[in-house]
Amino acid sequence: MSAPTETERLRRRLERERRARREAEEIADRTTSALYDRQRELELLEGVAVAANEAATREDALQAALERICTHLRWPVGHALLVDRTSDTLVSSRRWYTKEAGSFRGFKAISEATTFRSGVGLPGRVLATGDPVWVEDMAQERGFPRMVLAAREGVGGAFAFPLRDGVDTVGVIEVFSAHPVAIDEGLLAVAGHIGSQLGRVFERVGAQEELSHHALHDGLSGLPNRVLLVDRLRLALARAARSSALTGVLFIDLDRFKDVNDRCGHQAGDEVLIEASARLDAGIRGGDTIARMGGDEFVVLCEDLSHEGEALVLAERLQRLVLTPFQLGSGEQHLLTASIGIAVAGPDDADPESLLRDADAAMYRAKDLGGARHELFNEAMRDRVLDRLRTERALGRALEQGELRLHYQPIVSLDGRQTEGTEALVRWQDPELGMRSPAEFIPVAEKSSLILRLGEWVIGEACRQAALWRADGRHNELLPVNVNLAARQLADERLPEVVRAAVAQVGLDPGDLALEITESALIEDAEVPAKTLAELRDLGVGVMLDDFGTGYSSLSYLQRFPVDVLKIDRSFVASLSEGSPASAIVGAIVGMGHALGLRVVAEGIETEEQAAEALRLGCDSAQGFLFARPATAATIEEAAHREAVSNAS
Amino acid sequence: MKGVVFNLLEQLVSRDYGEDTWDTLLDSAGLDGAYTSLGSYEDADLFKLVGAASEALDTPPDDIVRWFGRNALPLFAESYPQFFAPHTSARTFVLTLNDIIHPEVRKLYPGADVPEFDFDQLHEEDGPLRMGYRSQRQLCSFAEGLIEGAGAHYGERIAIEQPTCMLRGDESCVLEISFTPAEA
Repeated sequence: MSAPTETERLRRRLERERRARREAEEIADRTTSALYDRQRELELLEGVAVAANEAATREDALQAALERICTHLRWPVGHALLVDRTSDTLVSSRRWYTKEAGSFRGFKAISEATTFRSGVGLPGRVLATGDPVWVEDMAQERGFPRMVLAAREGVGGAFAFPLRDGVDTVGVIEVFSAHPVAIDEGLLAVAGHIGSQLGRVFERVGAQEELSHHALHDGLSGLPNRVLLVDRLRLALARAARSSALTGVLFIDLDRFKDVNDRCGHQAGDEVLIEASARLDAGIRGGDTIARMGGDEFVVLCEDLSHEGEALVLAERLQRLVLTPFQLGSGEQHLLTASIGIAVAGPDDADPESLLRDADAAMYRAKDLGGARHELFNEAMRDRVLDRLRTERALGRALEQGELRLHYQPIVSLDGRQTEGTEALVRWQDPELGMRSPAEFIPVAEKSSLILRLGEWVIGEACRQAALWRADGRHNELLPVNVNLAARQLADERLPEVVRAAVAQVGLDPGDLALEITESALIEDAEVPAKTLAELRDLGVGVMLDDFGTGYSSLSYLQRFPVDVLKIDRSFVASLSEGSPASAIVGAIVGMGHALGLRVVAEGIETEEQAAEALRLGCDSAQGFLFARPATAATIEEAAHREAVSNAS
Repeated sequence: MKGVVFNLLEQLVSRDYGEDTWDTLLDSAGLDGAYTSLGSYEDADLFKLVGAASEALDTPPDDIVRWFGRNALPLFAESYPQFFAPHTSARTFVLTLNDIIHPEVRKLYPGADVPEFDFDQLHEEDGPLRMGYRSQRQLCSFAEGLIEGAGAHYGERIAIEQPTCMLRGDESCVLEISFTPAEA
């Protein structure tokens, strides 16, 4: 073999140099593109870190991470799941990224409905190992519960990684590509960092949320409280203003919940509230917020309503959920109903307080109509509420400026038609609107604490008039003066003291005062009235049971509450005639009353026929237009005087 | 082994023994010799070339490697004067290997697997410097050559003893380096 020529040697060196250059260029290309990828991965990591650190809630942090990861990868859908520590399973956080709004509906629904046990499905595999999982082609994999829907809605490959707090996996983020996609080791590494970054944020935000949770949640039910609800409502209305969606508020009040507290104690009441909270919470739609506003009041916030009907359907569902008997630990069972007021705001109504007020007004309307129903707010309800507020204000003013008067209606014995006392009735001479009906303003006063001030005034004024009559001496038959008590007065523990002070101030013999209470006032709060009534009786004040026969008319009341007189409701008297059912009822009441040693008064007598029948049935006394209309003290004094003169002549 | 090492060897062989010699070495080692400074190549390639040179010159492989190190150093000093300028003696320069020079090498040649030296700081400043070296490549001779080259750069005489050496079956190499100023 001959030695290579110079040309051959040079050609060989040239060839060597060329190969080296090409290789160098390839290396440079690879390095540059790897650097670019690395750069973008770092940007992604930094972006997630910054967003996560700025996030106020875990949900915000998840949302930010999903958006950045999906836009980084240009993948169409991403989803975050959280570990439920009690069952060690993964459940949807309901936080998603989708490139196109409204896409992947079926896939989202099944993902949110699925609970992933360790090892099951893509998130479950991550939970089992604590490592990221890459699926190049979902269609080729087995053991994915969501595979069929995923394939149908256009999911190709997938990638999931754990959110880690130390060694614990606290959640999983899964992202899905539109097409099968090869594993990307660089991304796996970055995902590891994102996972621990988010995990740390979770820990930090978690501690803050723990703190603010107490400020924003109801301690008994764990539901959001009023503060949080109003905040969410404000956000919802702001969002709605952009999206032109409807926002609904359901104001829920449990009917007769007070009975549970009164009859079975507060512990039973709390049990019912907790159970009711859980039922209502389970009944709302995903994304809705339910808050406990205090007492037995709850509010549901519904975002993204397409029409009012959806809110009505929800109200019906919630009412049904309340209908199931409440079974308490003590073995007792309670049947409750709910009254629900619904207000729906369009995109332009952006005031959370007024929306809540409207729902509250509708709830009041539902209550007024008997409860156990729902009402959709309308303007008339707002007017009613405004009327009520106006009346309340005016009544407050009336009390201060002395626009109220008492009128008196005599009560007479049925056999001799002798006056044997009067009932004091409040009248309001409004300087602008003239005489205003008690039927209008008493219910308004009863819904607020005004009834206490009003009641106190009535007691004081009646005592003053009674003392005047007693001092005058000529019209002792107008005594005692009966004063009507509202339920709230009776429930007020200060009542005996109020009465004692009023009597003492004018030096009245307590026997010249009698108090009329209704059956409903007795049921409202069962414990306080019994004690209060006993104290009043000890004072020497007479007690009458008013409107008897219209409420529960439970015999047990008569046994538990010390009263002297039964006043039979005017509705029976109105249809009194010999042989009528009303006569049978009145006869029975009289028999029972007398058996208990009570006097019986028939109210609302307007005709001689009614008077005769009442007398025949054994009523002791009567009251009504037939004998006298309510009138000022001066007028009835004059009438009494005339009667005395004519009797004497 | 990074391609830049092969480039340096080629440069020195071609300079001192002619380009034909490099071709001959490649042929004897059975290598095609297209090395780019950016690439990474089998360590074995370098040992094949050293073996071929050892045979051709009838010189022990260690001496070939030491020659390579001693002659490579001036090329480094020419290309990267900034690492040499701050120092007036080889001793302080050598002490910057771990913290300054090798990190720079990694920057220029990503993936470069440079050794970590183990300096024994207990010795007094004017006594010998003990430098531990442990590497699968067992190129302690290359280190010796480079340190001798550094001595030459700063005008010093260097004497190196190896009480233990991986080439003699020890677990690691220890280089005891004595620096003597030229004028002394």
